[in-house]
Amino acid sequence: MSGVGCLVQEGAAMQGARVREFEAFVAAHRERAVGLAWRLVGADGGAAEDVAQEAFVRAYRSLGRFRGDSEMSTWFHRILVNEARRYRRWRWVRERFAGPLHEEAPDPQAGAHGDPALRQRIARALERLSQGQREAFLLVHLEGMTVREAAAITGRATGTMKSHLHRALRALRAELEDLDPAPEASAS
Amino acid sequence: MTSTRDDETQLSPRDEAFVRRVAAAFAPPPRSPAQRAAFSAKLEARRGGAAWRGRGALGFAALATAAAAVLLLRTLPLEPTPEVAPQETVLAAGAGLSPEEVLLALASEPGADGEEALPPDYAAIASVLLSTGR
Repeated sequence: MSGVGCLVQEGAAMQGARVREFEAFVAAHRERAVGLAWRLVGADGGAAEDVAQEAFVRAYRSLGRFRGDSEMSTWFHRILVNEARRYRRWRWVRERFAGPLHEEAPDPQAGAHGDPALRQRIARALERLSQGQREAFLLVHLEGMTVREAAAITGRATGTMKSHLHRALRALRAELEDLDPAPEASAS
Repeated sequence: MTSTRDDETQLSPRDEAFVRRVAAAFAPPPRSPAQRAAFSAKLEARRGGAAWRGRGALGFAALATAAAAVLLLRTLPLEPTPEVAPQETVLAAGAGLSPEEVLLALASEPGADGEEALPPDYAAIASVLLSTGR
């Protein structure tokens, strides 16, 4: 019984430390999580917040099962990507049977932030990529993650990620060629 | 193009410029303090309003204590209470394991994914314990 009692104390201490660590992680990464979700779900602010919240809730509930064999950020972002995939699947089914969810709902801050028309063009171009290509491009090139980290988050091999990156970049450059700088302008 | 590490992408200057333009154009709009506060409030409500700090530890400790209590009950000529029936199911499934192994199995479900929901037995136990332990 004393052995069980020690396990209880050690487990409780470990769990308390993990909760505190995760609390600090949420505070530090909340905005980045919402931003990543925004990109993953296709520039939908409301959906991004829902996805990010669901990811935080799921992560908190699964905290006791986090073994620490990966960084907490990698573990959480894996949850976030899965939640985004879940949302996208639901949206795909929903739109197949009931039509589009919304007509590109106006972003209240669109006027103060960039070009909404260009943003929608890029969103549509990303939608035409495969899931693997889209996630690879977003995580590595837009979020600044390493290939290895993105591979760990998406559950793919690094070689597969590099292939996805190459194809995604080629497809996007073809579709968004006006964003592609002229060859003479890229000379270093 | 070769790379010495797996995490290098080695874009050409032209590709880098293109990626920078896409990143700048496809960036989430900044959120106002009011939006951030609303997000935090909604997140708190979704978690049930319980305090983050210590809740996980309390739940784990309560669950582990209950598991130890059930182990004791199994050694005594007492009838198990209905509340512990789900745990008995778990313990029965783990027949042959040491108490420590059973405890660890209850507390840290060895699932394939790290983010799947807790199994029904574990969730049922946690909800019963947490609701009676306040």
